[in-house]
Amino acid sequence: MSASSAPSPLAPPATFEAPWQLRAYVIAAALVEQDILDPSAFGEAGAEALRSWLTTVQQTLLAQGHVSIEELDAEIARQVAAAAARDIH
Amino acid sequence: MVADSEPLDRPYLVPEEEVVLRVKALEALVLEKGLVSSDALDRIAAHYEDEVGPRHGARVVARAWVDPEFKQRLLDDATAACEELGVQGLRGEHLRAVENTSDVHNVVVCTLCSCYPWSVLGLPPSWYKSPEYRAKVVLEPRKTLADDFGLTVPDEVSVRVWDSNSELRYFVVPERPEHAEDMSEDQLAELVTRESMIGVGAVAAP
Repeated sequence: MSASSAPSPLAPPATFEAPWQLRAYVIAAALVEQDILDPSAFGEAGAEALRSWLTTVQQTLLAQGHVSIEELDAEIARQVAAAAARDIH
Repeated sequence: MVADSEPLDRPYLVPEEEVVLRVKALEALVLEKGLVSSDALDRIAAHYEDEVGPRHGARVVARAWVDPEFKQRLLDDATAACEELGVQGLRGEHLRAVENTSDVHNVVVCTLCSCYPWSVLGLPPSWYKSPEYRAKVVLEPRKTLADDFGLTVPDEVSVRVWDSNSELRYFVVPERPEHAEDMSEDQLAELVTRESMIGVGAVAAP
């Protein structure tokens, strides 16, 4: 199996119920690949569990100083504004 | 303030829309900070969206159809046999292949949740995790196959239901279709569908 088709080091949930869940999983798996996140930090995989996975990602990035809460707030504000703009148009 | 720290302690109370925006924000930040590359994100996503798909399983089935010795190894130890073709299971996941014959038709379910052999079948169909399928196929497998999937299993053929779990995940080796004697392994793989490897469909003759 080529590297591009190898399973990621983080077991996924059996199903993704919404696109954001796949993206959340992909972010977590990519950070595990980079040894920024420890796969043992994540509990049992499951679609609903991805919310807590996301929290783990966020808390780790904040705790390790990769991202500040101000940067996160600002980025979310940008995403909110972008979403609002999409709604208007 | 759009995102205070409170939701961090109560992740299950975060509204869906905010979760979506939070994912987008985190993705933007990890890319901006160079923590991961967009190529890495795309590669992992593609693995589950496109690459894994049922085609890995289809290759395994097609090989089993043309190579009796491989088929026996597949039935004896599916995890090892799949690895022969470069199809690796996920950590802690063991695969078992069950063969359809003229006497037995197999169908797979996960009654507890939605355990599924990702590495060979890719993304599971949405109905696979539905409570209706999980309950009905166990109670009335023959009727479920006929009513919900249009698959009529003859009365003289037994129907066996296999219950996957997080450690042992089943997939079906469907019967090789008739009139496919002259087809190559690659051509045969094209005939194999996800539904046939779950057991809710048959492989159509070419």
